[in-house]
Parts: sequence; C-alpha cells; structure tokens
Amino acid sequence: MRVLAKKTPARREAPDGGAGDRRDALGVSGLSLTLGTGVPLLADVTVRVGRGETVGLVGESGSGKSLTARTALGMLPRGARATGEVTVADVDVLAAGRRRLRELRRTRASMIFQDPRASINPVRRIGDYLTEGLRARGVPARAVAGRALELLDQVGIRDPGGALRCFPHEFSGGMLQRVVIAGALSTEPELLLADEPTTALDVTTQAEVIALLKDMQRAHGTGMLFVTHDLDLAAAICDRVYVMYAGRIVEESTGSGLFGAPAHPYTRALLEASPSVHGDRVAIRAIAGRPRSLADSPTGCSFRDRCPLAGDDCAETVPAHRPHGQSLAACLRPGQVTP
Amino acid sequence: MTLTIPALRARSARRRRRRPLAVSLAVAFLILLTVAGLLAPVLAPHSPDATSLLNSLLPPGAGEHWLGTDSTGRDVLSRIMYGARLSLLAPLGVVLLSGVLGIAIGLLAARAGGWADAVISRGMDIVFAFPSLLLAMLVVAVTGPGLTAPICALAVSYTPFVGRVVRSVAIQEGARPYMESYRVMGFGVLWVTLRHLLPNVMPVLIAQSALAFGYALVDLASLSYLGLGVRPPDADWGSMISQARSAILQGEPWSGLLPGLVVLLTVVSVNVLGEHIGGSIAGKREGS
Amino acid sequence: MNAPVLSVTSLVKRFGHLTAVDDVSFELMPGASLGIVGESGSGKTTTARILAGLEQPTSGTVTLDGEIVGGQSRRARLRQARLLQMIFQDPYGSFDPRRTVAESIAEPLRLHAPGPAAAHRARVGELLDQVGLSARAGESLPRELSGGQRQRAAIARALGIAPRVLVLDEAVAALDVSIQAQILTLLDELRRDTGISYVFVSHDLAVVRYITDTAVVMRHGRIVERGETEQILRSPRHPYTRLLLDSIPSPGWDLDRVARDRRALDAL
Repeated sequence: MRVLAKKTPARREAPDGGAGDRRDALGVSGLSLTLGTGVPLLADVTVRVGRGETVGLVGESGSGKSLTARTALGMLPRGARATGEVTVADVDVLAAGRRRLRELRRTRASMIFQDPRASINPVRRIGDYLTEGLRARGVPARAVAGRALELLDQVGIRDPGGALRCFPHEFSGGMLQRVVIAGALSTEPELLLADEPTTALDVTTQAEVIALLKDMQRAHGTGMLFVTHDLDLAAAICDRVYVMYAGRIVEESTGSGLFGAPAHPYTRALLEASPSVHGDRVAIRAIAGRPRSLADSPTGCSFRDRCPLAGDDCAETVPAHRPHGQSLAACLRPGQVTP
Repeated sequence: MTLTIPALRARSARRRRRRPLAVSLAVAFLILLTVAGLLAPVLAPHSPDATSLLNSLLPPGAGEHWLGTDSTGRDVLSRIMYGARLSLLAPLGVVLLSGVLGIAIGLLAARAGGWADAVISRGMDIVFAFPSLLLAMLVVAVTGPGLTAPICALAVSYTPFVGRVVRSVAIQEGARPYMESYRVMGFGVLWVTLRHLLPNVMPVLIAQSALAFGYALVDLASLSYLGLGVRPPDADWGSMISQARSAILQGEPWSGLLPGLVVLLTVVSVNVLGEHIGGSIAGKREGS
Repeated sequence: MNAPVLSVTSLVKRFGHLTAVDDVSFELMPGASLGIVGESGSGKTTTARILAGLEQPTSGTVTLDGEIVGGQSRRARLRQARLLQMIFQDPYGSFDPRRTVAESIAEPLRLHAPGPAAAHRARVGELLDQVGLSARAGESLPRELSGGQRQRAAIARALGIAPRVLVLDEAVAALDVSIQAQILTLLDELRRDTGISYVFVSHDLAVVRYITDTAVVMRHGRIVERGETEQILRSPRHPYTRLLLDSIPSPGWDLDRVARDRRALDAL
C-alpha cells in the first residue's frame, strides 16, 4: 500500500493544504479508502468545494466518484478504513461520532441520488416526506405545513397543496426529483452532494431540473458537488471539474477549460469517444479496454494500459499533478496530442 | 479485458468449497440412513420380525440389542434400519409426485395469466386450506389401509405448496428480458418455458421440496401411528412409535423415542440440505 | 435492390385508453440506418417491440422483405425472426443467467440453421471473433462479463441468425462512455461489412447522429419530424426537436433558451 501512504507533492488550490480552509463547504484532502480485506478503493483524492461553488466529479463506473461523495457524509462501505482529511462545513467527518454525523447530515449537508423513487417511501404521501424531514431538522410543528407548501412552490410544482396529499407514484420522475431537491435544500445546507441526480430523467426534464438546481443553489449560496458520468453536463454547469479514473483524481480543470484544452490523455480520450450533436460530424475514437477500479489497475499511472501516450516511465510511480493550461493533470506528458 | 475472469472464478470456487458443518452433518446422516435401509438384510444384527417375549422392552445397550427391544422383543435397531426403506421412499414418492404436478400447474398459471391463472390459483388455495392429514385419512377410509392411497392423497394436497412458489417465481423470472429475447429469436413459448424458465425456477423448487419431504415424512408417520399407513408386518418409523404406545405408558419409552428421534433428525437434515442446495444454485446464478 | 427491406404503414397501438403509437409510418432501405428519437412515453420502444413481434399492433402493418408479418404460426414466427432481430438495453437481462455466452449464441443457430454440432461450434467462434470477444469470454457466464462484453455477445447472438434488420432499443444507453464508443464503432463496421440495416431507437441525439442516416422524432406516439439526421440536427423544424437539441448540455449551455423552447412548444 505504498501508494496510499504517499503524499502527492502537487500544487494545491489553497496554500495551507486545502482542508483547513474555513470558507470551504467541502474539503477532501489526501483521502484514501481501503476495505477491511485490503482492497483499495480510493487513493489520495483531493477535492474542494467552495461556498456557492458548483464542482463536478466526473468518471466512469468504478472510478470512485460516488464513493468520494458518500465519504463526505461519513457513509463508508462496511469495514472500510479511511485516511486523509474530510471536512464539511468545519466538521471533521472522519473523526466525527455518530451524533455529530447525524447532526451534519440533518442540517449542513444534503445528498440527492439518481433515482428519486428510491429515496422516497412509496407508501407515504409527499407531504409526509417533506414534513418528516423538516421536523427532524427542528422546524416547529405549527410552521411545518406552511414551510412545505413554500418549498414545493419554490421548486416549481403547480398546486403545492394538492401535491402534499399525493403519493410518489402519482408523480413523474422529474417532479419527484424536484420534491427531493426541495427536501434537500429545506435547511439551507452549506453543501449539496448530487449523485447523478438527472441520469434517470429525460433530456428535456434534465435541463429543467438542472435549471432549478442552479437557481436554488444561487439563492441559498450552497456549495454543490455534482457527481456524474456525463462530461458534457459537468463542463456545462460546473465552475470546476475533477475527472476521476480508477479511484484517483487524474485531472482538475475549469468547466470551460475541460473542453478547450483537456490535459490528461484520459479526459481527451473520453471527449474523443463521445459523439456530439454540435459542430461538424466527426468520427469518434473508442478507448481500448474497459474502465478499471483501483484494485485491478496497473502500477504507476492507472490509465497507462489504455493510454496511447504511455511509456516505460509511466509504470514507475503514480504521476504527480502538474499544471497545464487551466488544468492540473496527473500525467507525465500532459497536453500532448494523441497519435 | 480477461484479467478479472480468472479472479472471479477463483472467488466463486472458494465460496463453493466452504460448506457449513450443519450441511456436512446432514448429508452424512442421510447417507447413513440410506445405506442402512438399502443394506438392512446384510447389516441388521437381527431379523426385524423375530419376536422374543423373554427379551421384551430391553433398554438400549442391553447385551446384543444395541438400541434395546420393543414390547414383543423385536430388535429396535434392526427395525429402524428396515423401516428406513418405507419411511424414506414414501415421502420421496410424495415429493416427486407433488413436484411434477406443482411444476406443471405453477408454470401453466404463470404463463397463461389472466382468468386461467385466477382459476388455478384459487383452486390451489382451496386444496391448500384442506388439512393434508385429513385428506389422506378420508382416502384411506375409502380404499383401506396401504401406502399407495395416502401417498397419492398427500401428493395432491402438497401440490399447491410447490405450485404456488413455482408460479410466483416463474412470473418474476418470466418478466426478465431474456424471456422476450428468446421469443424475438423465434423460439416457441413451450421451449422457452421448459429450457430456460424451469431451470431458473429449480432453486426454490428444491428448497420447497425439501420442506415438503419433511412434512410428508411426519404426515405418513402420523398415519402409520394411527394404524392407517403401512400394514404389519411391514414396518416404518411411524408404526414403530405407534406400537410403543403401551410401553411408553408403562414407563419404558425407548422403543418409541428412538424412532421418533430418527424422524426428527431426518426432517431437520433434509431441510438443512434443501436450503443449502437452493441457496448455492441461486448464488451460482447471481454471483453474490 | 430498391425495395425497402422494412416498411411500416399507419401503425397504431392502444393500451386501453392510452394511444402509445399513433399513425406511425416509415421505410428502411437495405443497408440503411434509421433512428427513432424520443423521450419516455414517446412510443419509440412500443414501436420497436411491435417490429420485433413482442406486441401486436392495434392497426397498421409491418412489411418485412415484401411480405406483411403477422400471425402466430411457427412458420410466421421463424420468418420474422430470420429477417429481424433485436438488441435490448440491458444486455445482462437478455441472457439466460445459467448458460455460457457460447451456449446462448449457439441456441438460435440450432433453431434457424440445423446442422452438425461441430459446424455450430465453428460458427460461434466466428461470431465471437466478429464482435471482438475472445473464446475465453465465450466460455464465461453472462455475469462474469462486463457490460460492454455482454452487449457484444448480444450482437453476436443476433448476427448468428443473419437478419436483414437489427432493431437496437437503447442498446448503448447503459454503457460507460468509453465502452459506448467501442460498441458504436463495432456497429458501424458491421453495417459496412454485412449490409445489415439498423433501426436505432434512442433518446440520445448525439448517438443517433453518429449511427444513423435518417431519423424520425417521436412525441406522444406521433412522428413530429423526419428527414436526414444531419438535416434535422442542423435546422430542426418542429419546436419539440428544437427543445430536444437545446436541452443537450454543451459548453455555453443556455438554460433560458431551453425554457423559451418549452414555452414555444406548449403554445402549439
């Protein structure tokens, strides 16, 4: 587990090391996660979300993007050991006890998931879902009903009064995700973790839900970590984007910089592999092999067995993050054109 | 691309090798019983029917009668060994018959759907609600004592027990996309049902049949206890318990307790084994 | 060879009061690729299922290779299967979990092209090779393969029957981006090599642009726009197509414009 112990001498956004910055909604620094059986899941993950900032966490399956988001709320896989620092709104998550974590999840950090139907009890009414959450967050009983109506109205649900009496199955996926968003933002949390919140929705519904999320976020000043497999979506809505591969961050860039000048060969390969509706029709270029998890990735750079630029030196150590244009990329040859 | 496949194989192989102790014990016990029943003429220390009033109601461990003797002086061990034949074969018959009927009816209901399903399901509910032992006694009352009639009666009354589970699993499994993909490839409904649906229903079927075996063994033993099952001089465990009634009342319980214990252990063993087989087939399929 | 291999005329499918497919017609020439684009509830999947014989249309006809399909006879079923095959979204679910991939590929071969087992084995090997799977992957159970490998296997199984038309229902939607690209390029090559035709059902306009020549856009069971795929994307005529296009995230994504499109559509 040499990799886990190693500190990457990379340039950090915050000079003091990131996690100590009190203004951040989320500070993850040098996070490594290992299962009790010794299977590594994450290695040296550093992610920062400022107040009111939208930050994307992009990767394919097995990259560890959802795991990173869950760890931010202290939801570790059973028997997993975490090292490094995770700070949410000044709470040290890895050191916090159960009570502290519950308190954190209730008031200062919320999470929304891909499938809204899975996060709402199907036999309870929408109203019960919202009021239950509000009561748990300490809203007085008399004010709860009014607050629930207000929330539904804010997320653009027509006839909020009628909606409170509806059951989840009477709502479409898009409407239900709005309800979940209303619940998640009801306490004005400092951090919202959105795990593929629009993946299960239609394209047009996705656009509406994203518009709503951005509006709500702007109004409340919430920092958002947006976890997605969709590079275009992340680049379109995020201030900054982290690209993950095999349990590591391979590139950090601004949203626009990701498309303009991708620095890491993996990011570039992903862009070349996705067909686009815009511009001229260009051939797509598939990446050989399949996405890896940290446990079955090669030594050194995890991407080197699929990388057209890989050389012998890539096998030696995990490359440090080095600046390239607007990006930081964990690559020995950032920004080089693929042959 | 192929890197993880051997790893997966190795992992599932490891999982298969790890067999719980209870399962090993159950298998050992059932093998022991089967061998004892098959080889009873060779292995039994005495004739099961040899009476000796001088040696009646001996406790276990007395002289050459390891498990003692019953009220007419017959060797209990030998009778348990000979009795294993009927005691195991008859429930097996019940399970096989009810299994075949249950599969047919369950699959028919699941695949037909609509009103046919409703009619079959209600029919199964009615049969299920009727006590199996009562049905078997009624049949015996008509046909006279013997094993064939109660086996058939119990098979009929256990059919819903199997059929309902087969139906619900078949409906669940039938909704999976591979059923449709076979239809698109041009395969007929019957082929898909028998070749693909049925094997995927087997795990539950085996687990359920093991339960049914236990119930049938107890039911048949009860019938024999009531004198409605096997006819003397044939012996099964139920009739042994039955014939020990008066001895138990006299304070000599051994000749009844021992076959009772064998019945208990057999039922437990079969259930443990059935659950294990069902679980490992399902595990092999889902890979978790 | 100027007769369409597949033509659909005035297809209607009602489920009770709901009209899922409403007067849908299109043609597919040999070797061509047609996209059916739409969101959930557009009727695109129901249309695909009717093509594959999984649903019976309320009215309208499906003509394959000059002959109207229909009837439940074994002969009709086999003919439809030989001419048209379907790939589902969930490649895991479309395999019998207890059989190896090679066994699953061999089974339709035995039904449609009876012959010696050795010939089938050889053909399975060819098919695996054609979709880029190793012989070792063929000996695996579906659960031991990755999503991309399973979808390759599903394609191999369909190709074994040598159909004229392949209906792909959201066939790459569940795959990772890098794997999706592999399957798309494979489908491209197969069409070039074999002259097979595709009906590509998808919600994803970018993928449809890559894999099809012509497309129809469906909404609420009806076709609202049709034409060359490139033409539709460059100058969409129907407000719904415009909404779909503007809803796709891209650099400089304008969410206000999406809202305007929505209002324009609702005003129709």
